[in-house]
Amino acid sequence: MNMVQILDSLKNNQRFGENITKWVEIPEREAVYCDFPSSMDQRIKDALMKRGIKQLYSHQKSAFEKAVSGKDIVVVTPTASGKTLCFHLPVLDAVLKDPDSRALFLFPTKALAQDQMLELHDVITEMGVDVKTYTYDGDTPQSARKAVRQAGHIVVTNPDMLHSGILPHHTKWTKLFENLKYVVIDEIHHYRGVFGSHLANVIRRLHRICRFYGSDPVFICCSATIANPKELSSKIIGRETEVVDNNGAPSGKKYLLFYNPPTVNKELGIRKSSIKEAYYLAEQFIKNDIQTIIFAQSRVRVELLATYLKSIFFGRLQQEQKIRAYRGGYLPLLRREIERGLRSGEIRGVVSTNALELGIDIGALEACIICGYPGSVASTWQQAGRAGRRNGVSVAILVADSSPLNQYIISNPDYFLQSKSENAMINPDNLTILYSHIMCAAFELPFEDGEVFGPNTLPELLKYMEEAKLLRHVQNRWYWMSEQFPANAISLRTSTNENFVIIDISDPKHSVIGETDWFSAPMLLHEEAIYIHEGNQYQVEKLDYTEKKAYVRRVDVDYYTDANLAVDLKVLEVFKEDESQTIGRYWGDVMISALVTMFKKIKLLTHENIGAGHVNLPETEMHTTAYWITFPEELERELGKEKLEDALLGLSNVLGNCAPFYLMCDVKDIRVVYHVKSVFTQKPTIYIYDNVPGGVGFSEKLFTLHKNLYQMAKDLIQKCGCTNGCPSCIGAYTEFSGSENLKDAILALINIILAEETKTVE
Amino acid sequence: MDIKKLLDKYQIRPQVKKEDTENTVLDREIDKLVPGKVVNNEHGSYFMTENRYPLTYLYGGVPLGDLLDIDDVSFECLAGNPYLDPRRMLFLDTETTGLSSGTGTVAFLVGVGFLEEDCFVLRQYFMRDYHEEASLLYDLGAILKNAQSVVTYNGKSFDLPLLNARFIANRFRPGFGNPEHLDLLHISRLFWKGVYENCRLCTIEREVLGEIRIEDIPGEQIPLEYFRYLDTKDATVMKKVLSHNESDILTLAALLVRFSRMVKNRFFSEEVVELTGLSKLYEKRENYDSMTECLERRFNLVPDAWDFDSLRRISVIYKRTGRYDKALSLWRYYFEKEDLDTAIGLKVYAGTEIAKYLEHKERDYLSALKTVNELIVFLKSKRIFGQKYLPELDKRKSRLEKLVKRR
Repeated sequence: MNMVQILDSLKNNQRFGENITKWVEIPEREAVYCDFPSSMDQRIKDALMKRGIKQLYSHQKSAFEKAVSGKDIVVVTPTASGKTLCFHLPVLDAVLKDPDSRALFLFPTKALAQDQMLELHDVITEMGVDVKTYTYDGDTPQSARKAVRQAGHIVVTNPDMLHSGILPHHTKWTKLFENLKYVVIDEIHHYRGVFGSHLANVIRRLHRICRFYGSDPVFICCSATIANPKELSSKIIGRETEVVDNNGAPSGKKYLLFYNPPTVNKELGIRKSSIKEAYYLAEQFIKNDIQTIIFAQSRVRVELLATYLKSIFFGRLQQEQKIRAYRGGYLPLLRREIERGLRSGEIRGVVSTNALELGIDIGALEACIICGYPGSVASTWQQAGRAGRRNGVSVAILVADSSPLNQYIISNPDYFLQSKSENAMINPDNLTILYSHIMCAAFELPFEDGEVFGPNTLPELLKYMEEAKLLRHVQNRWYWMSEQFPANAISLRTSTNENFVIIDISDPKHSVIGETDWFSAPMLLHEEAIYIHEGNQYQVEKLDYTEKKAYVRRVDVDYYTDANLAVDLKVLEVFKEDESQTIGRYWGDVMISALVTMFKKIKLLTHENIGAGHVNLPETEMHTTAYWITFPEELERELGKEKLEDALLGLSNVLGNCAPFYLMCDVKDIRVVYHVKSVFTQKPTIYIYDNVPGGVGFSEKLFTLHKNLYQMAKDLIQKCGCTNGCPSCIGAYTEFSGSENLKDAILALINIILAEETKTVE
Repeated sequence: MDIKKLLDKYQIRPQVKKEDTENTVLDREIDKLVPGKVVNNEHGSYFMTENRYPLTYLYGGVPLGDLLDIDDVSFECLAGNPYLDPRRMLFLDTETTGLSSGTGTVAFLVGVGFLEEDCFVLRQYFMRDYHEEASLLYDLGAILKNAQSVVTYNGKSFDLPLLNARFIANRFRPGFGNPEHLDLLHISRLFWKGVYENCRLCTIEREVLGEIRIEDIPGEQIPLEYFRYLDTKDATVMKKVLSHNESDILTLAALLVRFSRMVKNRFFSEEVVELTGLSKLYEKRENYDSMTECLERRFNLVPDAWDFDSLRRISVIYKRTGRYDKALSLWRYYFEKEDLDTAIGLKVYAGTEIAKYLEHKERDYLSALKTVNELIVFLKSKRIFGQKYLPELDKRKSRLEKLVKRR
């Protein structure tokens, strides 16, 4: 069957067809072409002609003309619309016209940078000109670094390297900084939250260094479709950008399907597993030789799906390699191999986390199955965009899981389709982030009195650093007065730099098969955990916590493991509070300690619980900000301890799912904890904290709009069709101790809050 | 909310106790404790000391005037350039606000030593606060530009790049002319790596020159002491830092003389360490004749001081120049040696080389096979240490067997 036939058969298939909540057809688009800009260097024109490109798409020409005239721009067009030419053309043109010109390319990951390098290299080779392009990152050999610094026309790197490897050593990069014409920031929508707030400050530092060397580069940013590309890019580069979005690239017809797995038990609100449904769908496509990508929202799900799908080719020699898993923890070489296999068509199915959502070149696939809502509208479009051909039909299917957010989206697909993508939020003036980068900036060049860096708090912060003996103020300048190299201690990403490596000891010759970050390690790599890698199961035999190594051995078992995380929360200080007779809401500083205490063994396919074990690992601590709300003490008497506990748990689940809507953040960026009787407030309390050391302002925002939050929680619970709570609203029944009328109890709690008139006391 | 309060909470840093600045007494400023003068130029001022040592002054048992006796042969060997003039040489060492590279690390003290008509001048440039850096660098730059060569200890990767960064950060550039750079750390490593606990300047000074410093300030404390000085303007400890820096520069001069004497004495030396070090130095200079000379002397003097690396290096040269007679006698010596329990590798290497020679040069496969078999029998008797060599030798053996058969 071809694609159209498969879609027809799915539509007519009762089991599948009736569970499609929306069938959207996105018509094909004609290309909009323009002639080459007349000012563009002839050698570029010739090289493009040689590749069969006789004209540019409209957006490519606009980008070129704006950039060349010195305007900072942000290019917003869909996946596979020829975005790279938007920055290749002006940069190559500048270097060809003046060989002293330099450009800096920033990509969010090393993998993307490598990918770009290859593409750029092809263009340059074709032109037969001497434009030196180098990657500069942690993998660049020491011996090659000098050449990159001196001779590289185009330096391709990532924000982390700019932050700790380039800016603090700017005197070694005089050639680059004196002649910097362009800075390219690709995938700028990726820089949200903490990462984006850090990047904005790294760019502030970059501006400072450029000023010192007398250059003023033009910024070219590229973004996937988000609601506020102009706002985000302007905030990141610290100047107003102009939007280029006159997309002229053609695209074939495409279908977008919303699929809700059928209900198995209406009372309990249990639906068929989204993983199994995704597997079923993927099987239809792959068996008909349609190259398919499946996105799953966690590493475990990715590995599970890959294992299931490999069975399509089971027993056929060498064919199991046609299905591959792909995720962050894989080593770079393995990832390159998979990307190549996808481009060449050798790999017929790939299961990935959002790692492949970024612009890594894997060619255009025909079918995309998104197993579970990726958490944001922008991500969904980005993932769906992986399937799409210039001509011919493609399809993307969103398979909902039973979580509230998924159920909300799948039963209101028009909400999804009408809503513009999310706003990508950053806060470059977040005090801790700003402070970190002022340290780095002071290390790079002394601040002068009257200098500006971000908000007008600079003098105060410098003074503070002087008191902390980090700076010395002499004759109108602030000098770095410490032995420390500050950039090393500051990571631009939320997680720490300390990764755990995973070592396979099945064979006498041990080998490293992957790595995982410090925060996830206790969850994934505790002893006896089943670690799934490339569809193979490994059991963790030993976790060396101090050396950050996990030793695993290949096993073949019919279960996987799921660890329980116990979280303890201590209030350190209250910044804002607002109390009435019945309730109180607060915003303040907290210390979170997280501890993995036990794990469950869960049988494959049936997902039943078949055993458990203890975990003995140290606590991880985090200092952050939280918003919390207290309920009247009497509730415990009225409802009984058990029921109150159930109600608080249910409410916490709902809040945890609603809050990201208002905050425009990932579900994982915040966490909810409840105490039946909090040590600090002495009352039933629900805390929502920023899952980021130091916090990035989420909890403060929740403190302000808390009524909206509770209103949405109320809607979600009321509109859910279940009788007494289900995984799609307050949580799975198995989480609770069996209280009756739980939904009513939770609604009662919400009503207490909504009824209260409160005012803020600072 | 008050920014200060917020920061105090977020920054998990030890609260710094405010030092008692009440006691700041102006007569402890550096110009009151150290003989020297404040120098002014168009970029401001800084503090400078200057000591003139007579050429007869002994440091580490070496008269500083002996620098003048270093000949072109020594310079050729030590620096790869015979035309160095000791009178246009600058010995340089810096004291810095930290060890990390990057533009936030500053050299607050730069000491230089150089020869004049009748003395060795030791000059130190010291900034009494950060704003004096520009004027300090301005004058330092002038003297650096005139130097034909610079002598340092680890200057290639630390002092000179750091100064270069400082010049650029202060908008002076280029900071240097293009002096020849003699980094004595690199030479020290060739001679003493693995011989002494490490090759730090103070270790070498103690072990080689026999100088013991009294009340020396350990290098790692220097940055913090400088920050403390900036706060209090009490230069008591800075005085020690200045003399530490002064000793370092004298050591550089004395060490250079010692190296040049080793070069001069190479035909008469009886020191294995010296001869091995010299041979490495000559190898680096691609002067293989002198390298061979040093190694041959070393093997003749003490044939039984096992040194796998030296054997390998001389073998490579012999093979490259076709002196198989010499190579063979050396290999045979180690191959036939009985009591080689502690240096099996040496015997294996020698035996393998002989077999290779017989196979490729003499085409005498039978003898080659005999040698390999002998070696295998020997290794099998050494159960613990011999095993790892066997797979390689077995391969050679089966290949030789085939060759023998074919013939």
